[in-house]
Amino acid sequence: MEYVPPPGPRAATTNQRNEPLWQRPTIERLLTLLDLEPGWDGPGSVAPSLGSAQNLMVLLNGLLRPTTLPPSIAPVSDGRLQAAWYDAGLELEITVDDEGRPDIGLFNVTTGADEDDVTLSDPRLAEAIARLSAT
Amino acid sequence: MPRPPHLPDYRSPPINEVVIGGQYVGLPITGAHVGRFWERVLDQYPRVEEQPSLEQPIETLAPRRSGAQLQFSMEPHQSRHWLISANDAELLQIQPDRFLFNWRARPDAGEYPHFEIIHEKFRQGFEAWRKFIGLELRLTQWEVTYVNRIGAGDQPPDLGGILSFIGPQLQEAIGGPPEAARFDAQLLLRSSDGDNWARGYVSAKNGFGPRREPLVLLELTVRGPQPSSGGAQAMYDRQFQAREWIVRAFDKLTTDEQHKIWGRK
Repeated sequence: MEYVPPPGPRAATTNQRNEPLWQRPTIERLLTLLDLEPGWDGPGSVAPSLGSAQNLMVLLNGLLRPTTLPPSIAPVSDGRLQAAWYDAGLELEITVDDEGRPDIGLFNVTTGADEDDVTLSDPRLAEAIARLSAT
Repeated sequence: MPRPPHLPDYRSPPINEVVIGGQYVGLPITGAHVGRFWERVLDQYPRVEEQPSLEQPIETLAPRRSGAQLQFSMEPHQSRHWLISANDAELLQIQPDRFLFNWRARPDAGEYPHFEIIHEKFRQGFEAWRKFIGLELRLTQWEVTYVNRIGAGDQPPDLGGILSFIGPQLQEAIGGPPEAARFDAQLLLRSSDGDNWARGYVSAKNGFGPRREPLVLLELTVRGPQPSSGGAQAMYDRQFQAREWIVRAFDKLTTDEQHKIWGRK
């Protein structure tokens, strides 16, 4: 039988934001990184593009839970943007280019397992996100 | 209204937010009206923000077995305006069919001021709003919510050490402390003469604070219909009644160990 949760109140609280926990800090960080100029990391380095930032937000919106911890966002010298978590015994890095292609790296600190072949639909990724989230 | 003498009290309760509100038949107003009202309370609430409106659940006090029994208005979405104090701790929330006052824990807000003071601020704001509108507000519902944030420093909080109704059996059954847990309960509240006067809600879950610190969120809400007579004073009386239920429930739902930490008097 499907569980039907009780229709509890939608309290008018303001401290407990309805937006995902990770969303605001991620957006603020991306806006900062979009100010980087070409050559920010030395000759030849590419500034992150608005396209990469938008692609990353779209990907994270589809992947993360509302209570997923905010990631660390870092630019890559080739213009890509990376969202990373180093928590809950995991190292999860998701790097996106301005065409939306993701590159996912997952390392389990506890077991030492290094997973380079993780895709967006991979259950290992879903499990990692679950560990990085509260209910 | 003085604090009931036998109500549990704490020196440093883990209260993060208190909401007191009244709901009424929707007014034909826009943000321009709220702006004119804001001019009257600008010295207390110098900042303003606009938010999406809150939905309009109406409590029906018939026993609820399963499924949704809340009624929703078909009014189009409207705005909700926050009028915010300089220290960010107090705000009025105004939308065409609802008026609320929130107290929030803030570094500059000092200690939790207790319900009597918070309610007085709600009452003053509500009376000022009623006077400004100049029309009769046909009250339909009221609500009170307490949100508690209970932390344990950097360590994941031990639910069984915080919530009195979670015993060691959970850990024993699943083989360890849960990574995530959630509890929801609701109950029709009856007065001493047997009438249903409100519905109480309890929600407990673990989560993270703004600095990623692990904590337990314990939220208690009482919401009920406006009494058929007595106007705004009847609403205020119900809100004080709701406070009593919430405080007594909170006291029973949390452990003696936590009570010591919070300085139970």
